[in-house]
Amino acid sequence: MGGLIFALIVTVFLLILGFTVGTILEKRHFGRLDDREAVNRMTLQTQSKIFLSPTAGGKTPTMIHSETVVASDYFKNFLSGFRKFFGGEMKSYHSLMERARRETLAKLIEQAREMGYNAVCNVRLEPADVSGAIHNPKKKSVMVCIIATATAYDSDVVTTAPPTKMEKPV
Amino acid sequence: MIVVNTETVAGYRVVEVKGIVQGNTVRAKHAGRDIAAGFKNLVGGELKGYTELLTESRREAIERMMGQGQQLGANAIVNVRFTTSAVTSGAAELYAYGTAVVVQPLA
Repeated sequence: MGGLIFALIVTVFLLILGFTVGTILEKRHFGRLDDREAVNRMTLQTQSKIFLSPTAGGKTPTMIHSETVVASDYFKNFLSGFRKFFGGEMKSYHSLMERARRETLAKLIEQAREMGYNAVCNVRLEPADVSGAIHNPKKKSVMVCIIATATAYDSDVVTTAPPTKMEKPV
Repeated sequence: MIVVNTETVAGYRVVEVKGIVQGNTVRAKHAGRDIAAGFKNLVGGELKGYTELLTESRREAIERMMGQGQQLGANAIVNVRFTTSAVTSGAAELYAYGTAVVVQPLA
């Protein structure tokens, strides 16, 4: 009986910890991402395989890559259990993927800028399985990994996108 | 050596194709990292250790690929792609491959 109560207390504590700290951390992360993306919008970003009007005699194009692994929190994992039972959109994991994707892309653009390029093309984002969930589905740790690749180059095209924060579609 | 993931290199002309070159690496994280990741799983957030590990793996794979390219006498690798595969839980394989070519600057 005592053991059961102890287990319950620990679970409730972890849930509260996951919910409060996890939510605060996520909000802060999204805030930082908004700021970084606003600046990054000045860099020309395309997914096209061709170089959009490269500067003649510009720096030699080079490949850049970035990757991010983001872990889920205890509360989200707990909620996902219910969601799996009833079905429907898993909003908590949706934000997890979004965090990983946006962080990876932001890192990529920043890297290009630091190297002195003003454009990136052929941006490719893909997920990778690092938690080993495919081989061990019972594994508790939920984490997503996004890897990104692009080619940085110099372009004549000036991006017209203003450095503002993007409105979120609801 | 010029390495790009596009089919051409801006400002250069492909004059010779040397064929496909590849590089791979399988890496595991040490147990300490796994434990730290377990704690991070309570509150969520970026797992910096795993991120660094992936970055290192990718660099390693690219370097091996570049080594092959050099052996073939190429001075550029175009159309580089990456794939990952989970070999076993706790280890991931990173594979980079591309086409080794000889490029010349446009006059």
